[in-house]
Amino acid sequence: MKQIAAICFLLLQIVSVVYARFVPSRWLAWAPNDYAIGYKMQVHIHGRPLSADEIGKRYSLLSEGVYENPAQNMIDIIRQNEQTYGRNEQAEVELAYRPNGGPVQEWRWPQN
Amino acid sequence: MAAKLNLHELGSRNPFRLAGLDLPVPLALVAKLLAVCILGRFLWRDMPDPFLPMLPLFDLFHSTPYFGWLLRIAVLSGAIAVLLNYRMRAACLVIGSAFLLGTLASRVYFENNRMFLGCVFFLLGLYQQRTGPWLVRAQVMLVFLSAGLNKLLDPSWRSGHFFDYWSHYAINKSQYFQLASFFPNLYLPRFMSWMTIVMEFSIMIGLLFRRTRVFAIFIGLLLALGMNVLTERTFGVFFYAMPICYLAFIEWPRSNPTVLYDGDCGFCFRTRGWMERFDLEKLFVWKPFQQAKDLHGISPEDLRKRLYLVADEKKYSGFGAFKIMLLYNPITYFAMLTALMMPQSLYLHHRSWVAVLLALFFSPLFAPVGEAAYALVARNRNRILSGETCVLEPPSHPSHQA
Repeated sequence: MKQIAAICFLLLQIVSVVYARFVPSRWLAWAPNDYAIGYKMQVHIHGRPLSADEIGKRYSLLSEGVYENPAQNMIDIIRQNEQTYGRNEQAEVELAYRPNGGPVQEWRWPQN
Repeated sequence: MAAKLNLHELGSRNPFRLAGLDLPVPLALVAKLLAVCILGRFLWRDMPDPFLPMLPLFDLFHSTPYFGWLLRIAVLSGAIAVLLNYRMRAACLVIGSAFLLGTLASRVYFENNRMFLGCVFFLLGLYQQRTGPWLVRAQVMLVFLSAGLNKLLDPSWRSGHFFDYWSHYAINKSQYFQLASFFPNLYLPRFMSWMTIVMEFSIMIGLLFRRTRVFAIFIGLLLALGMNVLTERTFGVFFYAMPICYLAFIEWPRSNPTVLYDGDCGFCFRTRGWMERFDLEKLFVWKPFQQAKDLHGISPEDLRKRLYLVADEKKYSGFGAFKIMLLYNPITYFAMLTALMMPQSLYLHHRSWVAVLLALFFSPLFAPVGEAAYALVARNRNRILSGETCVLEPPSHPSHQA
């Protein structure tokens, strides 16, 4: 039984690694520190800009810095927050990021 | 013939004891060293409350502090239980489950090094004699396979753009940038990227086969060391945890290794006493060659010149024998880990220096120096402790039985 559980556990990880090849995020997919995303985010709630501290509290992310997972992981965090805990606050988020030294890209919430 | 291993003091709570536990020696050592990482780096304190979970189920506990506290208590008590040899496999399962639950319960808590700890402990908890060390081995190889594949399929890794960008905030050695300036644009970052990819695949493939395993471990240590020297970072606990897990690929001696030494030498007798004091498992059987029944095909002339160690029919002598004694002694690993985990001061970044010196000491590069030092001491051993010679054990003295 333990042996089966262990093999299933390892197989589950392989499935997760293969699945990650088809999506832009890398959750549970063994890509340790393979990314360097320079980013800066601005958040407004009812027109008022949030301070760096407030952004930190809201998402547990720095308002700017370098993120060592894919940008999509960060986007997943912000989007999930805005769809659940912050649903009623109608936050407007602007995320400018530069993945792995490439051109600067932008992501906004709410999405059009 | 080497004596059979004995499993003694099953109930011992000594953290340095490894024999007679419900995990084989190398895996027990892996579990204990990782437990030291958890306690030394206060990882138990970081266990999260549910926040933006990967599974919505965890949001049920979002507004309660109990979930996070439960995980903290589980990891802390599990790590202490592992160190004190109390229900080791169950404790590993508890620690592993707590780390995995923490990862699933909070996207912001997710880090590969934490997930790696969780996976290794979880698999240690599922250990069975039938699977042996292969579960942990498979976990290590899976990480390298996935990491290598992820880099290989990423254009910014292949072109060197990632490494170039990353180096400007992560690498704090000016020598790297001086070297890069000698080459055409992106030449060095591209070289570093491809070297990392090749190393990761080499480690994965090398670990698969018994013959290449030591070579793969050496490359793995080199990779960890290189990253630490360049960046002074430990990448969470990856810098400690991955090299610790290489111990799952080491085959511990099946029988007690025999150490043959010159019994007509006070210094050798002193050395024996000192080494035995730190050999808590009583793994090594020390015998003056003058009294040994089996010299394992080594001539008395050679034994008079050098100390010999015979482990599973392999023979080591001089400095090499001492190195093997250190490598098969768990205390060595606890000492090395403690030295590497010591907090760094602002101005003296000792960690990478300690890591380089340790790697150098155990590498073949240091062997000529070690052998020369050994030969010097061996030649002068009767002068070092003059007056303490002829300490042969009387024939009636029972030989050391392990």
